[in-house]
Amino acid sequence: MGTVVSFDVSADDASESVVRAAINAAVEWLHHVDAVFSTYRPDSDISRLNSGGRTLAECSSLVGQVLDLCSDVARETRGYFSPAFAGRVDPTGLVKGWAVELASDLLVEAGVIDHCVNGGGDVRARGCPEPGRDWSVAITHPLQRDGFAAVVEVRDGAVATSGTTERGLHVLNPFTGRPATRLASVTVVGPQLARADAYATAALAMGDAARDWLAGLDGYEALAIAPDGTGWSTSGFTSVVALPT
Amino acid sequence: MRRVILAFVATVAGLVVLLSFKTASTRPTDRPVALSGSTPSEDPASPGPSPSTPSPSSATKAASGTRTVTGSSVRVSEGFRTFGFVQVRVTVQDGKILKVEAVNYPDGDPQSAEISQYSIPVLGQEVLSAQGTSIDVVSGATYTTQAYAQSVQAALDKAKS
Repeated sequence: MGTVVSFDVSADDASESVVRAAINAAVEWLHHVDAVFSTYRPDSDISRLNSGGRTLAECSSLVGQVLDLCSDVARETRGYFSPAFAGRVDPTGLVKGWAVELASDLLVEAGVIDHCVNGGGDVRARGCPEPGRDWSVAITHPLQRDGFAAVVEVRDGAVATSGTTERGLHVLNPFTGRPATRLASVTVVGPQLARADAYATAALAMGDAARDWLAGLDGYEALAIAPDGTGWSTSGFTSVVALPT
Repeated sequence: MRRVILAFVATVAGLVVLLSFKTASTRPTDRPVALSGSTPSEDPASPGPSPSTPSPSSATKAASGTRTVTGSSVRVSEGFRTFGFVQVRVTVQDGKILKVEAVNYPDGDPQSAEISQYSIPVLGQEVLSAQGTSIDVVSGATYTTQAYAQSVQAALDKAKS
């Protein structure tokens, strides 16, 4: 599955050529990640690893890094995030967030501080869009296209949403093997996009059990919406839009 | 301020890169606040703190320029949740605040009040504009390259570039 990565850069503190060079480097990085990790490319390291055509030692060192991160996240999510699917290695649930996070790091290293990168719905924001204002991140309402459920403000942080609206019931409960149906979408806000992304997917797989698990996470807040339009959020989740209470 | 918007499309078959520059316009930054309640006023007839409903404030005069003002009961909400009501009593002497006391806290143990269920309204663009909310970016379930074209994020990218 292909997706789109959008860069929104405030170029106040960097010249246009610096911004272009930084974005080119970030785009090149994302292409590289795609070449190494795509399960749709038969020649990617991940595909070769699964077919037995390549050992982990023969893969890019990035593969080891990501699989280590996957192990940590699998433990943190009590096994609900799993980098294995149908007996094959598949870190897809985390790679996008991880890659977007590092693309954002590349921009910072180039001196492009104020920016927001959106990788197919997973957002990493830094700095501000305009002086005196934080990034406003709208969260898609899972039950209505073009409608929103909340708007959160982020200065330096990540917002990831996992849901069943765009690609159907594609998240499985790894313990039952059945599609997760209790929640229509889960949004996680926190410092790291790779974790926010994986946590949102894990919470979707957990269903009702996600409430307590998300409430206990340090530094991450969440909003969950059920298929009937009801929802809940952790205590620190703050929408800037005033809603009826 | 110059902003650069770039959409990078990765598909199985190939790649498309769009890049454009544009000067962004300033947008409204007004934000709704999470606190609501009536303006504190002096009303000696008021019975004082009320635990769960907004109430008029009360004030009492003590010796030589010392005054105690009890504020309105204010609803404290965060996100979609209401924690409860807070009421504050301020003691002022000669124009200086001597003491601030909370006379009413949000009720319930924070852990058990951690999460509550509510109906999630759908916010349309018109609701957001009415509240002075601008949107920079959209977080949602991962969209495919095809779905991106119809997404609000695509509209935002287009509008800003």
